[in-house]
Amino acid sequence: MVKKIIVFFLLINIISTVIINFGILERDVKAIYEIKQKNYILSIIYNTNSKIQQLLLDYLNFTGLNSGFSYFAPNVASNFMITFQSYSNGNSHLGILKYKNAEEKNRLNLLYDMYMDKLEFLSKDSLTESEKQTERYLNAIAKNLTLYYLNSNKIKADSIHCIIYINNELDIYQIKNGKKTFYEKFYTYSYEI
Amino acid sequence: MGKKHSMKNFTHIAMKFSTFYELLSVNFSQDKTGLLLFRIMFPLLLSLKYILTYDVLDSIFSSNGILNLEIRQFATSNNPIYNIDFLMNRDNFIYLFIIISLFVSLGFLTRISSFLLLFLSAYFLNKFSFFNYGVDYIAQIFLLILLLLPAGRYNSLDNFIFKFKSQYSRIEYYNLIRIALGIIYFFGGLGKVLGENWWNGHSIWKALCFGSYFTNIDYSLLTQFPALLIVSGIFIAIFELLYPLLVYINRTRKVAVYIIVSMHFFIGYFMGLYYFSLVLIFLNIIAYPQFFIPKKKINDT
Repeated sequence: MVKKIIVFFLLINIISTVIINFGILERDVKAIYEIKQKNYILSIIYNTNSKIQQLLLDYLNFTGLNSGFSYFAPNVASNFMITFQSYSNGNSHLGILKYKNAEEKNRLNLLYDMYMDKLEFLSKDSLTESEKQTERYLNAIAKNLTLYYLNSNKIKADSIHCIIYINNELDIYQIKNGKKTFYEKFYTYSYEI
Repeated sequence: MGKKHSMKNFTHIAMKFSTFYELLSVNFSQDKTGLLLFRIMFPLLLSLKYILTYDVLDSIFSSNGILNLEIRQFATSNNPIYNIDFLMNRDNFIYLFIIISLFVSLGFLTRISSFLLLFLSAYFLNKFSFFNYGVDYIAQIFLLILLLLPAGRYNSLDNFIFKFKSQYSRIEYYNLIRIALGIIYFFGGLGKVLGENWWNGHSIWKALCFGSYFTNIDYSLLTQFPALLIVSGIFIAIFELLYPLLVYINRTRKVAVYIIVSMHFFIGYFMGLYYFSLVLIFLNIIAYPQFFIPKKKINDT
């Protein structure tokens, strides 16, 4: 009997994982092909008042089964970079966050990748409530990254810019034809200290 | 009549469960080495994540760090099970994680220790979601599998203390490792196949550019051979999609496993995703230990 319960539990795990992954894929594919339709699978999964369903979602969250496995898919995300330009007594200093190893760098760059949303917001006339909240979140990250940069490098400044860049993403044929890839500035946060 | 029919249905379902259970279990002598490696090495690999990022984690945990309370309001789980003040201190969290990892590695109270490790890992995933990526969620799934496996039954302190029966013919649920890998690669492949840029070489080029940011390797020479990038991109997308089928078929299994391990080696080396690659290579090794550890050694252990 115990074995059957475990097998039933495992089947629920596998089925939930598969359904959620199809849901995430539906959302991502619609996003890249700009299909403005409701995400059917995810809306069924997450719009729930059922306590059992909520419990299942908490469980999936706990076990990581709700994360989606489409890594570097459907397309590879854009590359971002952040620099800090500080000003003190008429002098300026340009710097970036320092890392001890690739793993630190990888994980802090996850924060940079979030600025894809900022880029999207800049092209919009008005934002939804949820987008406004995301924007506040991004503003807070920029502010805190700047403070962290100042504190970890022991920099004293009168003012500082936190500058966000995106890679210009040339394709292979453009590079072959001699065009150069570079990071393009697209937003600057300015702070007085 | 209705009662008889539902009884028949129940027996039918129960039989299906038994078949599924049989499918999930594997031959003991073949995969014992894999199971041992999984229990001993996997928790240590997970601890490595925290050791590698120890310094920066100070500013993640600290309320004056990179991500202070203002940001945490947006990005952390409000679930009360994760509200544990003791764990909101970096050293408390990391030292506890390492101690519990060692418990699992040594096979000491294995199931309880595995559950605690799963909880600690879930705590970090939910409290600091902005600091996690794919490999952390994969690791979480495999921690759940480790909890289900009879990992503390062999060569463990538990065995020394509780004196388990010495002979087992099957390892229950071991095939979950293979099923999980199959699902992960299948969705990775399906996602890529549906994205147009994996068909024209642009995605693999972008992935390498992303890598050069970490590795400082200049890949511009590759643009002289666009066909190579296009073929590589298509191959990776289709291979990942077909991975579950290729490892299911006896004749292609070995080649498929070697290819996927090589792919992770390349991802690690050329994209700077060393930790991600290390974990995925390890998971493939324990899923198919017979292709990496000499047969004699497997029978001896």
